[in-house]
Amino acid sequence: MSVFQVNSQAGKPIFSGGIKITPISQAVRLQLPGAPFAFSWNRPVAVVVQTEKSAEQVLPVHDLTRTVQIAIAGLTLFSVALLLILKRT
Amino acid sequence: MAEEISLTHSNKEPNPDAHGLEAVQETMDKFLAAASVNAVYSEPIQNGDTLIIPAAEILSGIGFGMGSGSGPTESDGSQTGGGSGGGGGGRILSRPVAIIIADSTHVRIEPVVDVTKIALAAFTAAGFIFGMLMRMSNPKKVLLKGQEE
Repeated sequence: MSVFQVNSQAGKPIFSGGIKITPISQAVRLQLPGAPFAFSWNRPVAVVVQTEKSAEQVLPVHDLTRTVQIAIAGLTLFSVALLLILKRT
Repeated sequence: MAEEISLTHSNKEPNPDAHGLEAVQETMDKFLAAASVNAVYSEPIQNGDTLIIPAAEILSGIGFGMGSGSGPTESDGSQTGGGSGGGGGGRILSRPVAIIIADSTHVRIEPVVDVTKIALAAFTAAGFIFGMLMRMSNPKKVLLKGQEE
C-alpha cells in the first residue's frame, strides 16, 4: 500500500426523468505504513450527465470559496513582493 | 514439525500490542472507507420535477497512540507492576461546495460560496499588508528599537 493515494471514484448513477447523472469524487489519502495516523480529503470533481438524445457531458464542480481564498493569498503575496521591490529601488 | 510450531505458538502469551495494532489498522481502514463518494454527494432531494443533490468536501483525520511499561526490577529478577494503555481520536470536517440541480431537461451546478471564510481570508490579508506597510514606513523606529534592545 502506497503512502500517498489519489484516486477518483464514480458513485451510483441517479436518474431524473430521462437524464442519468453519475457523480465523480476524488480522494486524497495519506497513511504512512506503521504510523498510527491517517488523513483523507474527499472532494466532488464532476458529474457526468447523459440524456437519451445527446452524448455524455461532463460538468465540472468548481469550489468557488477555495478559488477565492487562493486568489486572496496570491494577491497578498504579490502585493508584499511588490512593496519590498519598490522599497529597495 | 508443524505440530511443534503450533505448540510453541500456543504456549506463548498473546501479544497485546500486536492485537492493538491490528485493531488500530482496522479502525483506520473503516474510517477512511467511510469518507467515500457516497459521503461527498448526499442523498438526492426530489422537489416536484426538480432533483437537488448537495455536494460537499470532506476532510478527515484520525490518530492513535499506545504504550506500556513495567515497574522496577527486584533483586530476584522479577518485575513489579506494569500496565499498558492507549487512546485515539479523529475528526471529520465537512463543507458544502456546490448544489447539483437537475430537472427533466437539463442539469446545472450552482456553487456554494462561504462568505465568512472569504471575509476572514480578506481581513487576514489586509492585516498582513497593513503590518508590512507600517513596518516599511517607519524603518528608523524599528532600527532604533533594535539597537536599544
